[in-house]
Amino acid sequence: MISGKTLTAMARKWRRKATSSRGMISLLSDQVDKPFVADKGHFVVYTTDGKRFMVPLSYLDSSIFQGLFKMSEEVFGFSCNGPIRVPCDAAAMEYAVPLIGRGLAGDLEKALLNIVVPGRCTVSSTASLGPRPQVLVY
Amino acid sequence: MVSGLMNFLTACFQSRSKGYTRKGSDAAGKQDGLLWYKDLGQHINGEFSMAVVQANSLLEDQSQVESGNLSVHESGPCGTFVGVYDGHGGPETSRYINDHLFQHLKRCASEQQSMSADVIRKAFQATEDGFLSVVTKLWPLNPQIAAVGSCCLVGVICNGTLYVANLGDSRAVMGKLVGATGEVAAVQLSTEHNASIESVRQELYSNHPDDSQVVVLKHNVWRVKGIIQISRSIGDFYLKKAEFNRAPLYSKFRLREPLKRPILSAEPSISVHQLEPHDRFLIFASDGLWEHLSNQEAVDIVQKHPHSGSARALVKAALQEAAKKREMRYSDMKKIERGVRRHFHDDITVIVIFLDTNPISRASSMKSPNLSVRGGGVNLPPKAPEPNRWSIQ
Repeated sequence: MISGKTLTAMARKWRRKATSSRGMISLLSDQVDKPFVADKGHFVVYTTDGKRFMVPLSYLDSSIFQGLFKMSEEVFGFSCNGPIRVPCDAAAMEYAVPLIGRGLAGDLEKALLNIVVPGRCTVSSTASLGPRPQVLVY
Repeated sequence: MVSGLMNFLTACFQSRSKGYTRKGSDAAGKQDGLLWYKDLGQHINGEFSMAVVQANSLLEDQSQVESGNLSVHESGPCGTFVGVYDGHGGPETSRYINDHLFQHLKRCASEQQSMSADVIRKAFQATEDGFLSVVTKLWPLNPQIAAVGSCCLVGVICNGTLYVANLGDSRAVMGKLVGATGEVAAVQLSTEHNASIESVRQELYSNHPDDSQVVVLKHNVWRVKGIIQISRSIGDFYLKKAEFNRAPLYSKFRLREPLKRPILSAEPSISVHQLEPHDRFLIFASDGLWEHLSNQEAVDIVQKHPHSGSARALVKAALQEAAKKREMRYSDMKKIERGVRRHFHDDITVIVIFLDTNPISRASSMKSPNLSVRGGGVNLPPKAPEPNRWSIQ
């Protein structure tokens, strides 16, 4: 029999874990005093609406980021004078990136890429995102 | 027939593949992750330093330093030959140049019994012609070979004269001692052919008066026909010959109107300089370096650094600058694997040639044997085997 106290402790632990996994990617454009160098182990991309995302290096292995980079090359070419720009907006990025951290299978990642990148399937606002991430995973 | 073609392909593109996997030997250079370097070597006119960092899945930059006999005859001209070949669309053209241009130069120098701008021009033309015959043979099986090309930067030092020949946007810069304070100024020796340069666009417009779209500004970058940034190269026959600008070439390379005349050229810009005692060193590098360092910044780094490792110091400075622009740490950028690394920086090749001003040591070095060093890289796949780009399916 699990006591109420234990349940509360477990809930706290799970909440901490969930918060830290969401924290793996951070939207920094509103934090004016943050220095413009990514934290250790991270890289930076900008979305089409100018929002800055700091992403763990391990995400470079995901099909989503490899697809986004390939499309960035096709749309913008290789830029040598500034940060990397990806051809999707912040809403699509916020939607897609937590899913990478949860370890989607390769074919699901590809399906997700079809959703987040305009031209494949336009996503212009959060309202048009449709089902929340959980729905896609299950 | 098929096996003959396979042998031909192997000879064309893989004849030097053993050279890329040499490890541990100082003579051949060292490989450290995606960085290859030869910190110090001796050419007939002094010392040299060489470094290459790979970003593409298959290294598209190729490079060489050849020193000693510059002709096929023992009695022919002696000197130093430097080549930096920055490929695009794949490594095939730059590899082909690395394997053939110097041989053509030696043959042309033997025929004319001397070194000259004309000899270098003929060697470029022979290399272009040779690669055209390769593309013609491969086209039926692998039409995408028509969209592979390479920039080509060459330096030849012979009898106190420096020749610099260039196609594309690699660059040669001299460090020249000026005044009595020991200050070393940067002097650019090569002419570049990139559509970002106003005079290059004007040349394209005047050569194609009937085509207002011969250069197009796309996402803030000028591109020839909206496709490619450079206006001169070896290869890229899809923009030189109409028969290679058609299906089944990928549609992104095909033009709406049939090609009436070549858009890209293989005619090098050649400059000739008489070397003087104040001419201290030469930096030859692909645009991967010059995207991040100015001519003077590069010259200052070489001037302050010991000869040994100076090329590696330039590569490191460029990578640090690239990391800063990408808003990340240099130590983190170095961890990124080739392929995806291309989104963070380009392949970078640097060759620093120090010019020995001491006539005694120069005289003794005349007796040194011929030297040949090729810039290396990683071409074996880390995980799954790389598909053979030109195998017969």
